[in-house]
Amino acid sequence: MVVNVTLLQAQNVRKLYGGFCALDDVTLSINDGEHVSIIGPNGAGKTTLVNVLTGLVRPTAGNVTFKGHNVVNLGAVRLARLGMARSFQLVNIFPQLSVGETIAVAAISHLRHGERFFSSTARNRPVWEIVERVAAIFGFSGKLDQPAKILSQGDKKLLDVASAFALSPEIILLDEPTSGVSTADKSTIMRVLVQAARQMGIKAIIQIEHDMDIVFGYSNRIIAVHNGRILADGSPASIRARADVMATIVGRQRDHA
Amino acid sequence: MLASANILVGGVFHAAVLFLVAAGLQIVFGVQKIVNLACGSFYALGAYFGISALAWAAALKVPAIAFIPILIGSGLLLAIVLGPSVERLLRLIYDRDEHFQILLTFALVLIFEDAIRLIWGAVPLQTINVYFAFGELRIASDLAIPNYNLIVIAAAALISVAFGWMLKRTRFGRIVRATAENKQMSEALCVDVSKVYMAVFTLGVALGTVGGALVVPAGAASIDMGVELIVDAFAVVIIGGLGSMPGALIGALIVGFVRSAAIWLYPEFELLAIYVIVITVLIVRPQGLLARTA
Amino acid sequence: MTTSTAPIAARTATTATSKRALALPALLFLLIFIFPFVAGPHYVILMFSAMGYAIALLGLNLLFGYTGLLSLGHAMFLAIGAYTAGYMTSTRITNFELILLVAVAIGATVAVPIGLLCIRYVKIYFAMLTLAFSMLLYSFLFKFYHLTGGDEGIRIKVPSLTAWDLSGLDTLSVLTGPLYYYVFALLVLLTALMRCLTSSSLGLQLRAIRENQQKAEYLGVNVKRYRLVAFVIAAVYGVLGGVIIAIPVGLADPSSPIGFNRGISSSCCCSAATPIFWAHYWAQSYSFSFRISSCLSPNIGGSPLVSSS
Repeated sequence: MVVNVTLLQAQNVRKLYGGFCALDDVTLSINDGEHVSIIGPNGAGKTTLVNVLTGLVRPTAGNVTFKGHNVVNLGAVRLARLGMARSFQLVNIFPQLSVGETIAVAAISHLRHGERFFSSTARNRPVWEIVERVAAIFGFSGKLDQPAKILSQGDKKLLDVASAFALSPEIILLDEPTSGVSTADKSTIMRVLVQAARQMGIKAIIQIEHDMDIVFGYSNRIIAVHNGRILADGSPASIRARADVMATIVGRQRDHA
Repeated sequence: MLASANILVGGVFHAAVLFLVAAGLQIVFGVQKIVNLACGSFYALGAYFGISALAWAAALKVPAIAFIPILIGSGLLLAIVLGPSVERLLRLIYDRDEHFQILLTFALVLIFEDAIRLIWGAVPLQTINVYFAFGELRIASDLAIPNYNLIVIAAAALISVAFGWMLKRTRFGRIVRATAENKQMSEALCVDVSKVYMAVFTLGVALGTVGGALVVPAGAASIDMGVELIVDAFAVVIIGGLGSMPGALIGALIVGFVRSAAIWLYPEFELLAIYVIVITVLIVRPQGLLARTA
Repeated sequence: MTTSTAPIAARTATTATSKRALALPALLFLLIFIFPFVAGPHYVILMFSAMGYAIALLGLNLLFGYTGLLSLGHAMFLAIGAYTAGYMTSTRITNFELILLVAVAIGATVAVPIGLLCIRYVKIYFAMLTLAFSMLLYSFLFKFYHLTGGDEGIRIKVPSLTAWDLSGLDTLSVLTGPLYYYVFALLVLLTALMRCLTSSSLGLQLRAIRENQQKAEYLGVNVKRYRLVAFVIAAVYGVLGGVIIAIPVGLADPSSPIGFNRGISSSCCCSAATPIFWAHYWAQSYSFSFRISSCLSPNIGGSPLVSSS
């Protein structure tokens, strides 16, 4: 029985860009053991929501706390130390670094080896063990020495996700991790993500997702966002029962085979 | 009273010239998206070439009234000669990382510095008698403003207005603005972008060389005026914001006045004052006061 | 665990190739070592400034090559080094080690506040800010005659070495003999230190910062702190290089920042980052050709190399 520990909490968050209201009075909390899918049409505010939750964007009103700390005051670096990681919608990698080095950066942060200025990274056993483990999970084992810029788009996306996982965070937010990937590969990637989460002890996953098969197949909680508001928030079954949500966002009823 | 009037006129004079150079910087940045550090060199070359042109004119006994057109003309001539060839060189770096642009244009600054040393020597040069050849405007019994300052301010204002008119009202100006907004779209609409680049760059060079030529009678041409101008011009652009012409005007006025005040009140701090302003602006409002693009 | 032994084998292979990669710099060091035995004193003195530039360039390589921050004002730290040597030798303190230590202390003290300010900005703004600071120093050196000697500068006497009794040797012998090898030892030491730093987690994190600052932050890399570290280390290397370059010249004057600037800027065009030892090579070749061409024609000293870089 998993104790329902609240990890990430948003209270009455509003985000205004000039006159445009991107988020309006959003309140939610993410708990231990949840795999959340955030769904909604384009421009609904999903990425803004994730940006606010990860401290990239300061809310106009309301606050977001992660394990009790205000997210905006912490900054990305301390958030990573506390246990929050994220991937990005647009490919976000280190072009000249190799795959192994990219993951190693995260491993170094996780192991708090960042201040070891006088010992060679190449000989740092614990770091490379993490790198090899994460690379194996995500299928990068043969590509450790390849520079990130020559990877395919899908692989670059995956590397972004893999490096976030290598932080061994408690909570991970993924912005459309399967976009740009062919349909056949999408479920493979999702299986990999779930397996990685289990292996690395990640307590909660939040992902922005457009593919409804993945949404209903993998998540145990769905948050539907529309026009900056939370339209619905609950289990897949309860969402499926909401005709308004299905009409607005999903489009039409799908039988889950 | 005397001091403040001098500071005022001196400030506007400096500002006028600075604005010309900053306008050249802005348009090259706006269209080609490159940061051209060599603007300082063009300024210096304009100054030195202007001195040579004046010496030549004086030898031909040309009347003083023709000096201003000669200065402007020499600046334009230099721009037409230099502009296209330098632009061809800079084509290498249009799409490359900003660092390459900075390094290559800085290398150009160094090369031009040496070229100046080779052609004109290392000793600062001055134009004799030109500054006072136009007489003075007597405002009060103890206050006289050299007419040269006023003429240059007027000339710079005229050039700026013409420049603005060109951008807003002529067909060429429209093409330039379109290319600045969206290069690919302009190409798709049959604009010869490489010709536009060359024209815009030459225009930017011309604004620099004319600025240098106009300023030289009021001071001296020295080898480090190029590098000094880079910091000044960037101070103008940073204060006003990259991409904003009204901002460049405000920036030019601020920098011009601070320079002028420093020269009159605290000469040791002349250079210091500008850098302190740049640093302050960068801390307080890095995108500039009126920036369109941060 | 077969999956983990193979990559670790790959890791040791990398160290093996890096042993091969050490051969070239070792050769270079050997050449520098035997240089005084094969070349005339004039060229040996040139090598002094080559070594100084190499050290300064190592620092700039860390800042620009690894961290991606192009400093157009690095010359200010070389000037600080030169003027420190001038001040100290004009008092009775001529001990070389002490000069180096004091120069490092001053350089680091100056670098911290300037660095704190400048590293918040990137690319052109960083370049302009550092240029502005170096021009600030330049104008200070120039204007405050009674403190800095104005454009005449300050004379630098040949320093003394703790471990070596230099009395009885004339200046040229000191420069081509004990002091040369002292500086050479310093060069080797500083190069090894830089190699150590860049192959450590610092090097990797700096490169991550250069590649993608935002992602580096989200992976827990403290961007501000490491940029400052890189800036201060680069400054210290610059200061040390400045001391070494200035000693054979015997003078610290305001034109040296400009001269340094052109040397640094043109040399750093070439050092694209990782190959530390290429930085050495360029520094040596720059310094030599600069001196040679300025003998041929005082006016075009900087240009051929600038254009070739």
